[in-house]
Amino acid sequence: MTKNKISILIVEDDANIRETLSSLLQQEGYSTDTAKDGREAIQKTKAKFFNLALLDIKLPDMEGTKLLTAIHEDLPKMVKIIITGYPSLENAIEALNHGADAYIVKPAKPEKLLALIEEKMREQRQAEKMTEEKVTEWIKTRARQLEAHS
Amino acid sequence: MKNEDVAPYEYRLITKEGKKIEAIITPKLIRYKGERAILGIITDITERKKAEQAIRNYSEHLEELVEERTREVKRVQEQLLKAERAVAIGELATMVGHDLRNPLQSIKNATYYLNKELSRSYPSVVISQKTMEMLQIINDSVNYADKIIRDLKDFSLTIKPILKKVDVNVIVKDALSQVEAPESVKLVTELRHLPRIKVDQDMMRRTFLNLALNAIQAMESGGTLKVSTRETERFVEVSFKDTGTGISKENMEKIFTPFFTTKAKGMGMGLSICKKFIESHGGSIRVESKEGKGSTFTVILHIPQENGGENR
Repeated sequence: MTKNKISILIVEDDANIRETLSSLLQQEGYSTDTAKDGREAIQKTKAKFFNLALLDIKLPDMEGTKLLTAIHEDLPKMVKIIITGYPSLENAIEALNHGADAYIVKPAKPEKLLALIEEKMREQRQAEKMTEEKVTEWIKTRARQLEAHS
Repeated sequence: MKNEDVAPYEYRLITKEGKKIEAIITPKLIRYKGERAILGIITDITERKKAEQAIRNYSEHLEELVEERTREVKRVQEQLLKAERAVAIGELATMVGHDLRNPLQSIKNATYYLNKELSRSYPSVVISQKTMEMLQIINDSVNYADKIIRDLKDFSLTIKPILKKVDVNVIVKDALSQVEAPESVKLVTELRHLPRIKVDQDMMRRTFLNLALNAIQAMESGGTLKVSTRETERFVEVSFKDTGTGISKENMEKIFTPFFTTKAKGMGMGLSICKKFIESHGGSIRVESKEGKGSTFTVILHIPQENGGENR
């Protein structure tokens, strides 16, 4: 999968961060979309597919954990990376318990964030491949079984 | 002659039984059977005297007690003020920290974007040295602002060290590898064998780095920084001895106070954070200094009794 097929949703209430993050991800070849609050994020994850979401955990309209649970239901395979300005061990544990895949602290180094996104996308591709292989194997086995019974 | 009273007087008497008593004798001039006579009334006041003495002792002691209690109240009040100040700083730091993190994130993102865009869009055009310098300055400044926020957070939060059994010499070497000393400063190390003890490596590394940098900054016109480690009976000691300006007597008391600094740049958080880190390990920092001669900062860490030779 080329990067331009990888779509990333940025959920962040700070307009400047939304804009700069979006620009630098596009510069790297990702396709991006943004949401300024939890409500918009849920709307977008219901309507579209995203490989990954970058989430600010403190949003004006809802708790970050609530948003995590909501979007996890719509897109369980989507990688969710929390970017927070309120770092604490409790926050991190809570986020990970609510389905987050990684947790980084603001201000994060763009290099670090990009490396993390690449790593997570690699993992996602691998998991997809595994699933495909398993499905293929299952079909093969099932076909053999049916042949044997006929 | 008139029937008049004479002032009573106190006397120590011995009773028939040989018991010493305190007595008050009240003499009266009287006429007895037509003759002048003295009537002496003797009152045993031993018990009263004792009671009086007890009251006197008690009242004297009471004064001491009041003084002592007043001192204690003052001390507690000062402590409370300090604690309140720390809490206020903490709240402020969290607030300011979060508010600054967002703009810092935007600046970081934008700088990264511009850097990349410049090298990507104009590969054949030579970007002026000045432009690259400016971008670097933005980067460095953001990192410095970031450090200020981290320092404030470290100072305000209660920290719990993540302990791991290590050779402290390794951390000292690691910290010193990050030190860029000017040519005029000679760095000497004398690291003796140490028992492995449980410490938070990050806190130690940052403390050692801070002490080394402070020492170097105190030797603007050059000098020697000697970093040495040793094991005493119950402690591991890490010393940073410089030949710099030294600390004046009046500043000596304040150097660990947050926001106290003699430097033009910096908030004065460094040493107070070092102290906090080391005290969270149950250790301490000893300072010896002579103005014009230099200072020695020694980090003292306990060697736990059960440490005997076991390595992990």
